[in-house]
Amino acid sequence: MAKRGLDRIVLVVTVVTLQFILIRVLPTYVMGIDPSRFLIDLDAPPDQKILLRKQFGLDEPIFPHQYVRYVLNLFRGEFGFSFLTRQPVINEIMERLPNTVVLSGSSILFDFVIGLTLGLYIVTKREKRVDSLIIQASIFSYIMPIWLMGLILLMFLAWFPAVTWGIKLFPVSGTTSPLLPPDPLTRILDYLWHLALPLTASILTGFGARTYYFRNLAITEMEQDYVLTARAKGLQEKHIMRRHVLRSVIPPVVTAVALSVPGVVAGWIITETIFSWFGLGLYAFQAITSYNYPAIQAVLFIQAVMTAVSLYVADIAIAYLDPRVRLR
Amino acid sequence: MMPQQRRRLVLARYGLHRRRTIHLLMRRKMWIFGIVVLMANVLVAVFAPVIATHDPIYETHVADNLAMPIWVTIFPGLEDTSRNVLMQIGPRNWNRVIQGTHTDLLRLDNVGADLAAYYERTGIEGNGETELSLTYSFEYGYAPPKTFVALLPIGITVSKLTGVTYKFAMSITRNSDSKTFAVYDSYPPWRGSDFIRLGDNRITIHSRDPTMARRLGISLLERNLAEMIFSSKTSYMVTLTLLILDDGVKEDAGQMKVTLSPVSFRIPGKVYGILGTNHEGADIFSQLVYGTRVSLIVGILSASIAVLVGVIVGVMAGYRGGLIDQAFMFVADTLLQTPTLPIIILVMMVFSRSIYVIITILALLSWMGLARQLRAWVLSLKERPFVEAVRAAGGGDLYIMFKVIAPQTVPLLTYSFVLAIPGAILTEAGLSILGFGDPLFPSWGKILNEAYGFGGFASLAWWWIAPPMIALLLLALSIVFIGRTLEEVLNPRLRRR
Repeated sequence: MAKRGLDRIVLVVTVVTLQFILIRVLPTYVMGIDPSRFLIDLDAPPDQKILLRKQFGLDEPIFPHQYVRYVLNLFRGEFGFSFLTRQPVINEIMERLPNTVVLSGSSILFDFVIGLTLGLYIVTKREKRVDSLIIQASIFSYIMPIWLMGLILLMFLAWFPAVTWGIKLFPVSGTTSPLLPPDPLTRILDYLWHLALPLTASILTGFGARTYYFRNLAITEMEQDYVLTARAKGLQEKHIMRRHVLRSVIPPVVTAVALSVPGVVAGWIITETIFSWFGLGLYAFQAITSYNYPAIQAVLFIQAVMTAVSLYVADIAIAYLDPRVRLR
Repeated sequence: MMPQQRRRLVLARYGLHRRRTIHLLMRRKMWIFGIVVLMANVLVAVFAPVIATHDPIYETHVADNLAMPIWVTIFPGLEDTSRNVLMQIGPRNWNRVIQGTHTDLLRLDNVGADLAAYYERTGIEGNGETELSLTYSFEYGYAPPKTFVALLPIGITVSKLTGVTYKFAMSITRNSDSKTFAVYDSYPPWRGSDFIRLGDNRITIHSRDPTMARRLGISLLERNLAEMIFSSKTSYMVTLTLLILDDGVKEDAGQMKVTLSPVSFRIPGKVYGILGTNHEGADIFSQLVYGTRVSLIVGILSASIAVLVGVIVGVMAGYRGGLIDQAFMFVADTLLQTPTLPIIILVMMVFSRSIYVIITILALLSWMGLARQLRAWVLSLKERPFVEAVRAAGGGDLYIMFKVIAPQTVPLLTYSFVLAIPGAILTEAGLSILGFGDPLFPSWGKILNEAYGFGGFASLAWWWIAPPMIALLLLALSIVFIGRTLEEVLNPRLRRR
């Protein structure tokens, strides 16, 4: 258990080191760009520039001083101030984090539920028409990238009705409508209305890989001897599915869900930018394109931490669900 | 050994019979579909300069912006949508009329492709007005256009002639109701003594010019000038007028020379080409054709690099074991668990948006799965007798790794290579949609990025949005089909089922 935890911390430190090299070392020492250029006015007097550089610790040697301080600050949650708004980055992140968690959390959940249901359902209907139909649908969903699905949905469900018939069927962008009454029910409904399109896009592009994987898992499991025994005992197929197959399929399923977190986390950037969803992905995109260093560091750090935590939780969950797995 | 025999032997090594393999492949519709689509894409990519009608990046304004494809005119209601009308009105096309008091002083001449008008004064003439009008009639048989442009390459040279002022005007007359629109007027009149227009001056008349709209007494916010002028299908007359006002100053001898090169009058159409135009009037078909190149290059190159890295890492980790194995697998696991997209964008931000940076970074973030699979395979392969035999015969480690073991994994490499291509293609397109495409290469993602950013969605420009989407999906789908078929044929585990 401790070794797994250590592995995850090493993962986070590795990602942090990678991003340190990418945004601090490479630009300064390879490309010759001074990071203070984006913060300090170019026309400022030299003594002020030196003072500011000293204040931000840019005059210290990059290793180990800057690196150690960088890592320590990230782990203590001191993300600094945004270059653009001069607000603490942690506040800006906390504003956006719930939106991202709602979007990606619900999409992972729905993918998981739909994938498991469909996967186990078509195992009982092998070699039938439904089987091949669902397989084709899931291959298509697997190939379809989320941004393409998002653009198609935007076109047909948001722009087309709005332009042709003047009906605002779904919002084109944003997380909430402006000028809402303070009534909580209206606000929640409005939020869900805005959530609908991005969530649909991510479910439609995510369920395919799950369905295909869970189907293959279940097929392998159905060929095991214990299923034969259960059949020989005269148990109903439904019963075998629910009590035996489902149980042994769950651990790899949990692993698959945990391993899908990095992909979903990385997908934030494109999905949220396309739908203008007020979350961390859009924030990361804006931060990267405006060289907003503190924000980039913070978002990448949080993404790495969330990935590591989800993998760790998955480890524990599998150990709990599957007694065969012994954690070292 | 004959090549044919050799090939049969290679296939036999993987447990395949040649004729059976081909039979298996051809039987599958998926495979045929995939190969046909891929071949079509490769052909289009290779012959892109021949197929494309325009340069995809530099040629803009080939028609009006957001022009529909030309084939929509077969649908009812769209038959007479305005098309491109381009007229080069040379000196022989003009209908010339000289009126006024000093008609004898004005002389017309054809100089090559130009029309030259000379006004020569000897110094004894009195005051008066002379007008040269050039008219050209044409038929306009489409629905009202959204805009029109006229280029008047005119040069006026005046020597002396202090008492002569002149002005130049252009008007368009609609013949059905004889309504005249003065689209250009050089007010205040030019004066020969203080202003000399040299030969390369060129007057551009654009229907969205607010000065012209103000002269005609309309506001561009409320009405479209081109629609107003070309409102009906009838004949129109373009009139150029040169008005020379002579004050009759004594002893003022000199010459004025007016050269008019062929005037180009252009009405950009609302339908153009096979796939219409985008927000700045660039031909979408050409962009789509050239985009094939980017997609194929990115997909194939980055998949090759990824497979190469995967082979080296996987075979070395599996064969050597120990510290190398642990180090390689640690790197692979870390990269597998890292959110890659922000890192890719960051790298592109730090380095450049060049297509080679995209290819490299995509490859370096996608070799891990193959490396892990290969390592597991090599672990069992290296214990096989034939490897031991080579070792006993004195084969070096490198020889065993890359000449003995690696060739055994060719089937796995083949379909992992093919299956790595669509991911790279779609990721590149996704990056381009965010604006992280190579600005010098027209890619399908870039077309979508422009459509997303410049109102292709708000104006429901389906001819702009759908083609790159369909092209991307078709290419990705075909390659996935090819990869899946190869996997089924080459992977013994899947074949048995």
